[in-house]
Amino acid sequence: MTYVTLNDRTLGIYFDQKISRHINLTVITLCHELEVLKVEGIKAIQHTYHMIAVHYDPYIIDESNLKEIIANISLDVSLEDSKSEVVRIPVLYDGPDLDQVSIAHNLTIDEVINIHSGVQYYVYFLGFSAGFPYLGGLDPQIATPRLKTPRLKVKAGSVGIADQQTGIYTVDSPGGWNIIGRTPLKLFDPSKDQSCILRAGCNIEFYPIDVHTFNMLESGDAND
Amino acid sequence: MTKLKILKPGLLTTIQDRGRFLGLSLGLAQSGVMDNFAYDIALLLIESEGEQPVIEVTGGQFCMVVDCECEISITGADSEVYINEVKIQLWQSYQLRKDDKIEIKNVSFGLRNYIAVKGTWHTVDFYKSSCSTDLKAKLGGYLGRQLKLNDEIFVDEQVSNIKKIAKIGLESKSSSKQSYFSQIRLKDKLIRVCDGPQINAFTSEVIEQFFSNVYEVSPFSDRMGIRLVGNKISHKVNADIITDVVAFGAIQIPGDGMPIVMMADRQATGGYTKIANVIFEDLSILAQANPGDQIRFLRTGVETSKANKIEIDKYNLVDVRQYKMTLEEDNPSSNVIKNFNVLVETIT
Repeated sequence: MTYVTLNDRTLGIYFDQKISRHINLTVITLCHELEVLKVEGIKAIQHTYHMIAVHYDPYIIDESNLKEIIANISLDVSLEDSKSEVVRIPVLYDGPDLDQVSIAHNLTIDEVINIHSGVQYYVYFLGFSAGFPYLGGLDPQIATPRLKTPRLKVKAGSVGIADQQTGIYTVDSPGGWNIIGRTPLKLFDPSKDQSCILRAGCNIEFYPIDVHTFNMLESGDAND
Repeated sequence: MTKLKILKPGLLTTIQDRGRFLGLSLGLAQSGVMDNFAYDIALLLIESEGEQPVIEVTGGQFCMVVDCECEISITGADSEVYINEVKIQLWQSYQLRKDDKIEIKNVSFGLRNYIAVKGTWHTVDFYKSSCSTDLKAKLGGYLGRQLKLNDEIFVDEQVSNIKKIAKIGLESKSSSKQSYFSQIRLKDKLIRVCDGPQINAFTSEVIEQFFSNVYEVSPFSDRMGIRLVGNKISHKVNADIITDVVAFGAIQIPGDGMPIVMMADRQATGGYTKIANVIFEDLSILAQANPGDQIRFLRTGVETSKANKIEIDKYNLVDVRQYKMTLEEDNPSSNVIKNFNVLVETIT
């Protein structure tokens, strides 16, 4: 564990520079334990695969106080402790880049769909945009480099692949991912108490749906 | 209840507060004011109870009218500001009357101004304890967007009838705050930074180059980042890292070797190497930088910036409060020029 001063009011705590579920679980645990302490002066805690950042008010607490508090937190975790929560995400696999992805890997479209939807993905953290999950577990058979020219607008709900990553756009934004499908679910909805469907430490499964089901789910959502 | 009606919306005018810290772990941007110093003084001048919303105006061309008595303050860039066509000084509070018009015409030096209105703001959307406007996620502020012509903001106003003037840079011995006011008028700016989390991704020769280079602010700079153009910075290996957190002021060096200083609307996390991080105070200088400005970085330790923080604290509060006490003791009707609906105190 290494402390890195990110700036004069943000302290970084870095673990091994690896994408590993065990390291990530340690990180999630540290965040949780720190949050539970409700330390006065801590404004926010965020994390990624292997590190956490503590944003603090330097008029209330300083870096050395923070380090003392963190040093006292036990980080003994094992993978058995991790949540087995699985969130199922319906996907209409009709993306504009689905053809390209299948051709690039000498697979049929059905094979790409089976590979993409056939495994569980672990959510390492939320970042990039509201509710956007950084997922692990994409089968290297369908790992595809980003588009040379990103699109100016990718619609929220788009499911894509970029190199070793797969994910879902949660807001309309420019993007260079290969779009293979779309989900009618709103991954980020600020009007709900739990605004994000996904969170760090849970697992997700994509499952294929048809147009009819997509439309039903999309309008059904509006009736909630 | 005062209604603020927008008569000229300006290029990019948004409602902001300190930022949406509780949204960071959900992947939301921090948002919030770009110039924290101007924000702090704007709040101090209206004796705000907490970190209330302000209007951030970018590049002037802004006008609003109020429909009843209220107290405001204006800070930030060196701009031509008028109340009912009478030119006024910034970094002061003003008591407005019904139908008073506040206009920020052109910006002479700097870029962003802050208007605070004393009281409880209605018509602003809060999310995760912040009403900062998140333009990407379209939430917070005024309907999650920039202000437009005829928008109306309601404030349950409070009036103090005491004139406050922030005496900064005049008697202050603080070199850091002289830095803000002198640097806002200079095209050449010196920005203090601490080492970034990936400083070891660069050789010591390259690090030396980074600190001796002069960079020009690109016109593609915005609330997400100040893009800099200059001599390329090269990496030992490449620009990519396993995604980590991007702090306010982090200086990313992507594959093309051009630094980007990540600002208020930056993504919460990112995968590019960061060579340095601007110290919190000097972010306010960058928040007032214009395209064409020449930026040099000064490598400094965090200890320096902590010491400066205490300096600001002391003289900010003392200056404004001392002045206020003097006003209450003096006869308020002497040395006063009444000009239309504006009360102007002369300071001897």
